[in-house]
Amino acid sequence: MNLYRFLATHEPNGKTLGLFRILTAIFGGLVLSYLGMSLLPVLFSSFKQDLAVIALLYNTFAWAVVALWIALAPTKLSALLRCFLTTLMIGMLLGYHYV
Amino acid sequence: MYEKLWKQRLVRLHATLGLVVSLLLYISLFFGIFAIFLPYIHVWEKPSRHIQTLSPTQIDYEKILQTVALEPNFPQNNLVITLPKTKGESALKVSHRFATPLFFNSSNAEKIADEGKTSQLSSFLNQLHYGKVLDFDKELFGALWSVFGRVLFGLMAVGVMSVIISGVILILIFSYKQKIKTPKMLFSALHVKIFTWVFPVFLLIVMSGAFMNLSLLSATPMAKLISGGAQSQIDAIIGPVLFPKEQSVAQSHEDALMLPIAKLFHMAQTRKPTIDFQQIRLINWHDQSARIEFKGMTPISLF
Repeated sequence: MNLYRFLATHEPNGKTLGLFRILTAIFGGLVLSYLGMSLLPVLFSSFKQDLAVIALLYNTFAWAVVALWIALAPTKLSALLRCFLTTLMIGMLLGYHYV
Repeated sequence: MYEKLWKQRLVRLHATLGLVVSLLLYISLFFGIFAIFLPYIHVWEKPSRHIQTLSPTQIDYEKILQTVALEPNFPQNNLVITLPKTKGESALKVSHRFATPLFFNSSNAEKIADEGKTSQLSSFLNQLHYGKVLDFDKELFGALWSVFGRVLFGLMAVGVMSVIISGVILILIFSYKQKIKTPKMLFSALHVKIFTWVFPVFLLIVMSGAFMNLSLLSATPMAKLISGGAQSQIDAIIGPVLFPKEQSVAQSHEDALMLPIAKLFHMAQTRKPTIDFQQIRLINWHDQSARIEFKGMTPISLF
């Protein structure tokens, strides 16, 4: 419960970003954008090769966007959820497609 | 309340990330100037390239091809001739997919002793541009450091992308139109003015950098994911889209007399005067089924 309170309470101000957000943004953003971009050609398999080009070209851009989105979450908990829930969903879609 | 926190965080993120990232970006942009002049430095640093060039209609291609034919272990079909003055190069290059290229002096059609990699100024400056400069040797140690440098510059590029996106959001949500009173406000106003115009180009530059330094280095898991584990090379997936395979022409094994290439070049140029021809490809040359391919670009149009 203590951990939950630590994660879920808002910081008093937004002057510092904090190590927690930095780490979730960088690593969570990396995994999320990489898996998300890999999911594109898998989902729309009729444009597989074209979407593979797009995925390869823009996965770093997606990383930048996703990292920004995670870092700007209102609380630490929502930052964590933003990176884990979406990764889980994309991972499940990928798993559903392949397994 | 939370809206205020979000905006505060965005401003802070933009400023801190920008500060951290601009240290490396400065190096990359500075040596990018040398990367623009790379072909010219590359020609300048080799004494064998300080030669005159002839116009492509006057070059004695037949003599060059005879020299190439005498070359041991050089494939003879599908030769690619890159004309002098392409990318600042003063020599004529004869190349093949599976051989190291040969260089010729276009004015007397004689082979040039290429220096190879004895002088590495241009490649060194180029490596400073993309962060490969830490490759101390060809062993594991140097390879690791060169990957480290490239990944570092790639991470910097991703950081710059984040800075650009956050900057665009900042411009959209704040109006930077108050009266300038302090030096800080002047900086802010100029910063906004300049980067409103510059950011699309900047984004393209940085995105291509991130592509070459990160995406290409880390393409194997993506290739595996996309193909369901069948491919480990991304080229196998995107190759057919980017480089469609050309139909090969079957040889008839009957000899035929060829027109001089200089004359064929003249014909091509009179038909398409706007094109700046750079490459000639010879397919099944001296055969009944011979083809010649002229490749070039129109300097007026961008794409």
